[in-house]
Parts: sequence; C-alpha cells; structure tokens
Amino acid sequence: MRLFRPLKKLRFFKRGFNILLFFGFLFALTAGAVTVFSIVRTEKSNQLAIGAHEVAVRLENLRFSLQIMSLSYRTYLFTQDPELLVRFEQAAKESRIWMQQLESDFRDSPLESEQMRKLVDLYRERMKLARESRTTLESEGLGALAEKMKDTARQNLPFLMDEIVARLIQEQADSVRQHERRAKRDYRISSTAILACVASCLGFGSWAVFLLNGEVARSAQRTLAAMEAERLVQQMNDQLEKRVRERTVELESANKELEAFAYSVAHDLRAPLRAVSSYAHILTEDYAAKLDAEAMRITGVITGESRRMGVLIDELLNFSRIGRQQINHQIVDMRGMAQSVFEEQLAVHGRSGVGFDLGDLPPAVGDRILLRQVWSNLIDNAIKYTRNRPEVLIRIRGSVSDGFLKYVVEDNGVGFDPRFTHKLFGVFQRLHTLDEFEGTGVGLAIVQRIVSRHGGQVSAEGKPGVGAAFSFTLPQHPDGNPQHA
Amino acid sequence: MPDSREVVVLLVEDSPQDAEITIRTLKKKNLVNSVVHLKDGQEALDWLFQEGPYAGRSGPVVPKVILLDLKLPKVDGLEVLKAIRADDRTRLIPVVIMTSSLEERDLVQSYSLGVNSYIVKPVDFENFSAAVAEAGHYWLLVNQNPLI
Repeated sequence: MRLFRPLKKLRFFKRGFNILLFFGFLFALTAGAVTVFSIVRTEKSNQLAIGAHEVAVRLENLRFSLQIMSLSYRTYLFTQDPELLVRFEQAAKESRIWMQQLESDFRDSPLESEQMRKLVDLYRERMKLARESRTTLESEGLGALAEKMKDTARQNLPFLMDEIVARLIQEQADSVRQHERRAKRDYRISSTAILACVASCLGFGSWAVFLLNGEVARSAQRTLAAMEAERLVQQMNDQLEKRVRERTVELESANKELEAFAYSVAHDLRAPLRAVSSYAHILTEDYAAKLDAEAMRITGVITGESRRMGVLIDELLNFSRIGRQQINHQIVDMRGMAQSVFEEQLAVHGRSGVGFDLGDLPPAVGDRILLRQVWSNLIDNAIKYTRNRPEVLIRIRGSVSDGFLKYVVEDNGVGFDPRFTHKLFGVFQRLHTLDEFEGTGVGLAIVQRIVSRHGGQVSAEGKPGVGAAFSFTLPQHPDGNPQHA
Repeated sequence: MPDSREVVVLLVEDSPQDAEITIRTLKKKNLVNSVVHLKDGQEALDWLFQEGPYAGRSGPVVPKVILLDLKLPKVDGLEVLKAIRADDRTRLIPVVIMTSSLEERDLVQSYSLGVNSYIVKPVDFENFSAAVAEAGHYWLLVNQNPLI
C-alpha cells in the first residue's frame, strides 16, 4: 500500500501535467497558424500594393504619352512639320498599348473599367478629330481649320482624358497606401504571433523541462531515500552482527574463565587431598601398633575415599582439558584403533573369553589421541558392564550415511533403563551404584565432549538385563574419508 | 650445614606437607642423608649462588639433584630453572620438576629451559611416594652426573 500511493499520485500528477501541456501546445499551434496566416496576408497586401503601384506607373506612362500626343499634334497643326506628325502617331500607338494593358489591369474592377471605357471613347473621338483636322488643314488651309476648331476646342478632349487618368492615378496611389497599411498591420500581427508562438514554446517548454526536472529530482530523491534506508538497514545489520560477535567473544571468554576456574579449583584441591591421603597413610605406618582394628578401618576409609576423590579430580581435570585442547585433524584408522584399544582394555580389566565382533569401520578425520579416548571409554564400559555375564559379546560396527560416519559399540551386558538415557552423558551421572560397578561418571561425558568438538553426536540405546549400544557420529571429510566399501 | 662430600638433594617446595612426605619417602628408602628444603624461588637462588642470607654459607655445596616445584612464591619454578641453566656454576645440575600442573604450556617451557625430568605429583599417598622413590632412586643411584 505504501508503495502504491505515491505511484497513484504520480499518475494523477502526470495526467494534469499532460492536460496543461496539451493546452500549451494548442496555444503555440494557434499562434503559429496566426503567424502563417498573417504572413500570407502581408505577402498578399504587399503584392496588391506592388500591383497597384505598377498600374499607377502605367497610368503615368499613359498620361505622358497622351500629353506628348496632344502637344505634338497641336504643334504640327501650326508648323506642319511631318516629323511632329510621326511623333504624334508614335505617342498615339504607345497610348493605345498602355490603354490595352490598363484595360486588362482593371478587368476585375468595374469602376475603373468604366473609367477606362470612357477614356478609350475619348481617345477614339480624339483620333477622329485629329484625322478630320488634318484633312481640313491639307484641303482648306489653316484658316478653315481654325474656324472649325472653335467648336471642337471647346470640348477640350485632352483635358478630359488627363482628368480621368489623373483620377485613376490618384485612386491607385490611394490603393497602394491602403495595401501598404494592411501589409504593415498584418506584419505587426505576424510579428506578435511569432513572438507569442516563440514565447509560448519557450514558456511551456521550459515549464515542462522544469516539471520534468522536478520529477527527476523527486525520483532522484526517492532513490536517494531508498539508498539511505538500505544503508541504515545495512548499518543496523552491521551493528547487530558486531553485537553478536561481541556477545560471542564475551560468552567464549566467560566460558573459558569458568573452565579455567573449574580447572584451578580442581587443581588446587589436589594438594590438600594429597596431604589427607598421605597423613592417613603415615598414621597407619607409624602408629599401627597403637591403633585398634576399628581405627585401622577408619584410616583405611580415609585413604580409600581420598584416592577416589583424587580420581574424580583427575577425571574432572581431564574433562576440562578436553574442552580447551586444540584438535589436530589427522586421518585415523578407526578399525585398527578399536582393535588395539579392545586388547588394551581387556588387559586392564584382566578379562578373557570376551567375544569380540569387529566389523569394517570407515576411517575418520580427527584427533588421534582424543578419538582413542572415545574408543577407550566406550570399550571400557562395554567390558565393565558385561562382567557378570556368562557369554559376553561385544560388537563394533561402522557405516556411512548423509555425510556422517557412524560407529556403534554394542554389548550384551546389564544395560540400562531407557528412561535415564538423557542422564548418561552428564558429568558425574551414574546409573549404577559403586557397589555394583566402580566409576566416576565422567567417561561418557568425555566421550560426548570429544565427539561434539569434532562436530558429531552421541546416542545410546539400552534395555535392562539385555544390553546397551552406544553410538557416535563424525562428519565425513571429503578428502580424508573415502566411501566405505 | 652439610659439607661438600655429602649427597645433597635440594628440595624447593612451598607446601610443607608435600615437602614432609617427599623427605620422609627419600629417607625411608635410604636414598639420601641430606635434604635441603627451601620454600620459595628467591631462597633457592640465594642458597645456590650463596647470596643474601646464604652469603658465605659453608660450602660450596652443589646438590646432586634439584627437586623443583613450579608454583612458588616470589620467584616461580620456571624462573629458578632459567637462572640455574644460565649460570656456569649450576647449569649442569640435574633438575626434576615436581608439580601438580599437567598444563602443556608448563611442560613445553620446562623442557625448553632444559629440565631433566617432569613429574606430575599423584594425588594419593601411595602413588606419590612411589613417584618420589623412583625419581630419587634414578637420579641419586642409577644416573651418573658429571663431576662439578
């Protein structure tokens, strides 16, 4: 949920952002369209202004040609210089050409076309009068012509034509000015639109960039926050590990201290015990004559018990030493070791006629001296607790499974009550009285300690009057423990 | 004070009981007629080198064997052993460590310093006196010392 909410927020934010961006884009597009439209319009107005200007120029040319025409003709009438007649004809031709052009220029504007038609009519009338006046001049002379011209001169055709042309010129000039004004206005509009377009593009663009930057910054912040959290977790883990290490070291040192304490207590008990034992002995040696039978019995108990206490202390020291002793890993021939320990223990107990069935035992990797101690204690027990049996059989078997080597020492001795199995491996724990079987109750505790220091486990099975089986496992070493055939 | 011709055992032992049993055993077995018992390491060194309270004692008596405890007041057994082995007057004297310590470290250090024998005192009287008797018999009768 906590992860989902910011995502949702982000989506909402993105939608709002997209809408705004869309409007920005629309605005920029509109501004762009206005720009293009007004640029086109400016262009058109400019074209129109140029067109009107060209028309005005043509009208000026026409006006000039008409004036040349009028001037050269009148001068001819007075001078009768044929050169002037040629000039007149030429100007008339030019005027005709200009008028034709202008007629096509004004094709789409009815008012101007009307004016042009009037102008062309006047031109025709003017040409007709010119032809008539020449004929009059050539046939009747200048006086008749002057008489004739009194009527026509009143009409003053050149003046009327000039008036029309001048008006048309004026109109064209107005048109040019008007188009130029429009072009200017459209130019202003297009400039503004361009500015708006650019401004909006820049504005929205930078806004988008800014927002994106913010988003990037936020996501960077989130990443940083995640990294920070990870770092904190790591730090806490490190601290925890450190604390565990410290506690382990403390525990180990406390354990070592305890062991050292137990060791030194046991050790320091030896000297006074030796004194007790020794002085009791001295008493029996030096004062035997003065002591009666009961006193001798009592001193005997003192020496006997102090000897037993001495054994207990030595076993305790032995047990404690095993906990602290360095383990030297070697390949150990377990079968050979079990065989030699059995013979040794048989001699120690002064026994014979003990059935011994030794199977194939896989070799192990471990401390030779400590593993010998294991065999010694287990076989010692087996021989001890089969003491009262008529037919004794001690069986030793070995196997390999699940990366562990397993060794079992089985006897058909007195066995034990399975309810007390958990007590068997405790220090000074005994399931038999001293009257039945001697012992200190440290042997199996030592076995367990050695086996657990090797990374293995011990277990026991027993039935009273039937027998007992003690087994221990050791981790199989990949190099040192070839699969048992 | 014994003269130089006597067979002398130097016993350096802080426990009076252990000392008494050791002396009693040695005498009972007729192994020695003179035991010098000193109670700490400093006293042992003073006696050996005739210094301090033993300056100018009658002698020079060189013991036939030194029975040395490790845990001693003032100067401990290993330091005494070191001093004995460092001095030409004493370096050839056989030294037998008699201690309650079965610590591997003590054993290694003792042998490194040139001890001749290392005996762990058994707890009960019979074994203890047997060990003392055996050691005494060996070092005083069986073993031959160079003439110092």
